[in-house]
Amino acid sequence: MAAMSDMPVSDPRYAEIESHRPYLVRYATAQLRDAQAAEEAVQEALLAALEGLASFQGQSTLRTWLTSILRYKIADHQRRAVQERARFEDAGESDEAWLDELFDETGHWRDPPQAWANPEAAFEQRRFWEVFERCLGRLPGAGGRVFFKREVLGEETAEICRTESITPSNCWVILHRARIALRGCLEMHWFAGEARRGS
Amino acid sequence: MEADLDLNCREASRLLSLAFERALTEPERTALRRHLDECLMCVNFEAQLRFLRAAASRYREG
Repeated sequence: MAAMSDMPVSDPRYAEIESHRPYLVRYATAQLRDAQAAEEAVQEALLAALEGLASFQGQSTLRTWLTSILRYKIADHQRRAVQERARFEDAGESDEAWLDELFDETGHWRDPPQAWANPEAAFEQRRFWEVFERCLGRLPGAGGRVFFKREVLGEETAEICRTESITPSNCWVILHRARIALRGCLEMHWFAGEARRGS
Repeated sequence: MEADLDLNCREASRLLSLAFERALTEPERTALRRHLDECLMCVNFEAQLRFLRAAASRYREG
């Protein structure tokens, strides 16, 4: 997405469009009830407006025209929020399915965790942190975000559940899944390979 | 009742992860302890969960 500064600031209507920003932010905030999402929606709407200025015929006021563009952008954000929510709910419901890949019918590990010899030694190696970062980045959307908040930022689980609008049990499942995925990724990309070669 | 006390690895690993989020109940703790006494794989998993937490907090400190 282009930055506002890349836009033709020489056009006098740029300043005029910009002058409606506070109104548009209030409008979007009322609709989305999320300050950050509102700022994003307004930014997207203003960029779209600048790109589409040529098509603005002036039958409506500039503010009305901008608001109609903003409404589309707000709808996009609402749709994305709903999809995100659905993914969270899936994470809870498909609990059994992903566990089936890890455990057999009797509940035993299919690929039993092996002991990691002196794992803390990895902390001193820059390569390890590159692997760790890559494994963190590979955690699927919700899992990655929730795990990052919980373990990297050290937020309380209850707080995370509240801001993500998910139930505690859902939150626990998401975290459990993220931990298992991260453990597997580190084992594959560090402890089963590099760490052994290095020692 | 005896059977209820025997966790398999799937249930034990769930409790090990859950212990990071809330205090386990007395029956949960007892059942988990019994499982860990017998199961080296889950003992490894428990140590690795602790390692993940330590790694994440090191990562935060940079």
